[in-house]
Amino acid sequence: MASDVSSTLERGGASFEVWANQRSNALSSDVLYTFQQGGFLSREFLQTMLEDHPLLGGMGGQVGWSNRFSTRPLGRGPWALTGSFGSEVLVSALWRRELVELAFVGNAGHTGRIDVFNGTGMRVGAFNRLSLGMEHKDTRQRLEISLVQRLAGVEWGIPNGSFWVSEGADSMAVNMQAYGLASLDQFPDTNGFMMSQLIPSYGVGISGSLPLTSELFPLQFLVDFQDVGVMWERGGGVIAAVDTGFATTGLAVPFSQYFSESAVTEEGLTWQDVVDGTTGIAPDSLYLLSDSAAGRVLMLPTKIQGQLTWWPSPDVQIRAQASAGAWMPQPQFTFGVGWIPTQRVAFGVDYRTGGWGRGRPVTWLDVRVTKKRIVSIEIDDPLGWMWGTESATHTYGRGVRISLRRLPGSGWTRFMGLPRKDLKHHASDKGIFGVPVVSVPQHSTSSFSP
Amino acid sequence: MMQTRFPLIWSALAAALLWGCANPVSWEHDIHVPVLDDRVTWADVVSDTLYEPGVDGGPAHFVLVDTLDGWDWGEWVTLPDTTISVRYDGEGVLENGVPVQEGMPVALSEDDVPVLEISLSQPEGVELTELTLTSGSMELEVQHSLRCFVDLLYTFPSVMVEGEPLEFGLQLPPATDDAPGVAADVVDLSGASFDFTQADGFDSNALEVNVVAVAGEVTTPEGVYFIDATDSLVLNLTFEALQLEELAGYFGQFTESASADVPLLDTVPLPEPIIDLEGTTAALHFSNTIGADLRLFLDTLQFDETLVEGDLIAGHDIPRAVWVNDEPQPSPWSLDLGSPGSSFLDLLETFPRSLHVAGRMQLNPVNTSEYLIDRWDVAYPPTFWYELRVPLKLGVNGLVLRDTFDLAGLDEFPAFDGFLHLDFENTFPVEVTGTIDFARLDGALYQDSLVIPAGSVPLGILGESTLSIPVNADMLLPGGEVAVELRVNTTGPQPFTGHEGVRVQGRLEGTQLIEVE
Repeated sequence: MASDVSSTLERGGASFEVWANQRSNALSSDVLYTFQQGGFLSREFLQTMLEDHPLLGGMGGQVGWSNRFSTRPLGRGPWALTGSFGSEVLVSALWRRELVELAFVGNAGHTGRIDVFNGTGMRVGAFNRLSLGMEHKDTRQRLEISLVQRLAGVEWGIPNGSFWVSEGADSMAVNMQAYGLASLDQFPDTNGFMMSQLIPSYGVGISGSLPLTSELFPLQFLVDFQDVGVMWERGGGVIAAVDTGFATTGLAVPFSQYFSESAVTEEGLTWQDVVDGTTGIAPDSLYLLSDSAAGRVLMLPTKIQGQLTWWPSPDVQIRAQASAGAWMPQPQFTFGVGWIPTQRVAFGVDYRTGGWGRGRPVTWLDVRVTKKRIVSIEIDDPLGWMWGTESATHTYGRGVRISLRRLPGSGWTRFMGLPRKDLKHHASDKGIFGVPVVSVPQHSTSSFSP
Repeated sequence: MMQTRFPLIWSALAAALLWGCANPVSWEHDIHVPVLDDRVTWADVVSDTLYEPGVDGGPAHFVLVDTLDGWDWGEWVTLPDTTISVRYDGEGVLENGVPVQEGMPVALSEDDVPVLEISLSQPEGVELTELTLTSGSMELEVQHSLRCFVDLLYTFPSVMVEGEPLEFGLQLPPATDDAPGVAADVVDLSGASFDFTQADGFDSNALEVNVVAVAGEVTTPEGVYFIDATDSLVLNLTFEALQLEELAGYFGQFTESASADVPLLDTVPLPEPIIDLEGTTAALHFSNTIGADLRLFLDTLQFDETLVEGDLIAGHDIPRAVWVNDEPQPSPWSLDLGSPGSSFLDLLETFPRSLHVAGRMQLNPVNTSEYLIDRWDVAYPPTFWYELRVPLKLGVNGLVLRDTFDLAGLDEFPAFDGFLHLDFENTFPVEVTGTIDFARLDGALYQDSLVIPAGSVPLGILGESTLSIPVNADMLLPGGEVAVELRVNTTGPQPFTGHEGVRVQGRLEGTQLIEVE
């Protein structure tokens, strides 16, 4: 591999991108739209939803932005200062199908079965990040140190929970261990929530990129990772915990008072106690509520991605991508083909599966707006954006990523694809196989789509 | 830059969360849950202290066992306050004609010093040889006519307190022409033990006392005083609030009356009750822990308004307890109230509501004072109790258990529509008919009934029946009055094992409408 050396070294690449997506493996757009519209949910609608519901349902969302830059190589060496900063909000929710059945259909249809709630939970976090490191102008290898701030975080979960009613509905057992954590130093009072109540946490990680390009074949393998590290969550946050359970065959009625005025002692809880409010059970006693949670060490919301791209011809691009992290319950895989018909436009269609949801199409478009600047847009599950229409019925989410990239200047290796096509010197190009430069995949300068 | 973009992020997140709640949504929700589980057993009708379940399928027994507290044994162990006076005069113990000198003992004739003789008016003829007190005191007052200070020291060799003979002193002021010299003191006798057999010539009721009197300053103008025949020294001992712990000797003869009322079947008003008393036992028991003979006179045995006739009304001798290793071995005594010569069981068949017992207890009906062998440790009080065991073979015809209660209007289930299923499991060997009337405040009346078949504990048969009550907003919202009525007809006496019961389980099954705004 050789570099495209020029006499004047220019700045490296830069980018600014924003993204947002929402996806579920259980709640289709039709279901969510119906919920949004309100009204009465028919039993048929709910049964259809449950039949399509996996054992562990989930929904996640991401909203964020990122800004990346690389300087000119320092001194006469190949290394340039590079870095990025940005913010992202992650939302993750998981729930058992039994919980949805109980909530929307009731337990009548499955008495005698133990409904397990284990694994149900939700996480929300708002992160700011700043990373600085070095990037090699020829190999485009990059390594950075990341400082991550979790501005706010909320977590709730049921590590252990179950609900059981016997087949004859004459016995019932409930077990519940749940917890909730919030990075607030006190409970919001009647004045509402204030930013000063937040307890930020900080973490340190490493980020980087390792592109490997074949000298014999038009192949490129890229490994990109972001924020591999840990975060120290400060103590003093709000914590709530429930650990309770009960089994009953029903509450007793103090029948003896019907038969006798004698002082026959009733044992246990009775309906009379419930009516009289003398159960002795104070709701406060069922859970622990404190604003002094202990500090702990957590993993940062790491993202790891591997991508293999093949250009069978100068105008065609085929790629396979695997990514994980970012609180996704499963790895996400993407396969697709792209076409580069002109020097200014490239577009393609991918198939993506895993992550938060099921298989869906992804379309992308790169448009060169200036000699060095490319605008990219990627639409995840385009039909999902047709909210409320028949077309979106069977979609399970939607996403978008928009980026504006500035290509690295002279002296830097450019990857293949649309970025390598030089508007000025296109005629003198020796073809993509003759010039060992490859482009960064369309939208993965600093981070990548899930 | 980051600061300016954060509001955008939060706004986007908030919008994403809120759009889902834009409109109210509702759905139907099917629930099957147990809400009620209860058992009506004999323990609900009869206190579990009043019956013994049968063993191996045998009949249960209705059992009445309780103490008869007619006699207050505490009174028996409290000695009345007693005052004893001892006079030493110039014609007796005080040797007259002898000058009194400061620092020298007042001359007393030791041969004439009297013993303290205890005499109790109640019980008659008490002769104590030993006595231990738990508490009590002795007030001591001494008067004298000597014209000098006197230091007195009394010693009771046969009264031991904490292992030492009882000893106390008094300093008496001199007498004057107008008044005697007087001094008083109180001595605590808690834990004191008395031996009334040490005084010469006495084997009971007497305590030896030693006195030493030392003259102090003589107050006559001459500085010298001679005891004459008119001088005296008087000792008054008052025993107060003496509580006995142990006593021995002869307790005398004493009779005390007592009476008690025993509630019997005051629980369920039974119409046309039938009872089979075969196998019934009724007895009075006395555990005599007193080392003295007793005699019980049953003056009255009466069920409600009817006297028990027969040979029970007589004096019944109760033998004394025997002491082994300083502990009494009670002497049990029993009286079979159901003896053939008594109408006790015949009257019991009439389902009396109470039993009245009155009688007298005589202590030492035979005078054994010459042997002084009575003994009592108060820590072991005697126990007098009765026992009535009736096999549960009874019948009730037309027994109606009825109760009504108000049901407030419930608006917590605005759209519930379903049933409250009441599952009954009956092991009583009788058929139970039940009716439920729900008179709603809006005028509507809901009625339902069920028949619970007879069951059997020995055969393991459950009589099962289910009553399904529609429950919906229309039923519950107005409120009303619920009347529950259970009718029982045994058709003659039926044996019961005591394990019978009716289990009621309630299941709420239906559909409710959940609305989320």
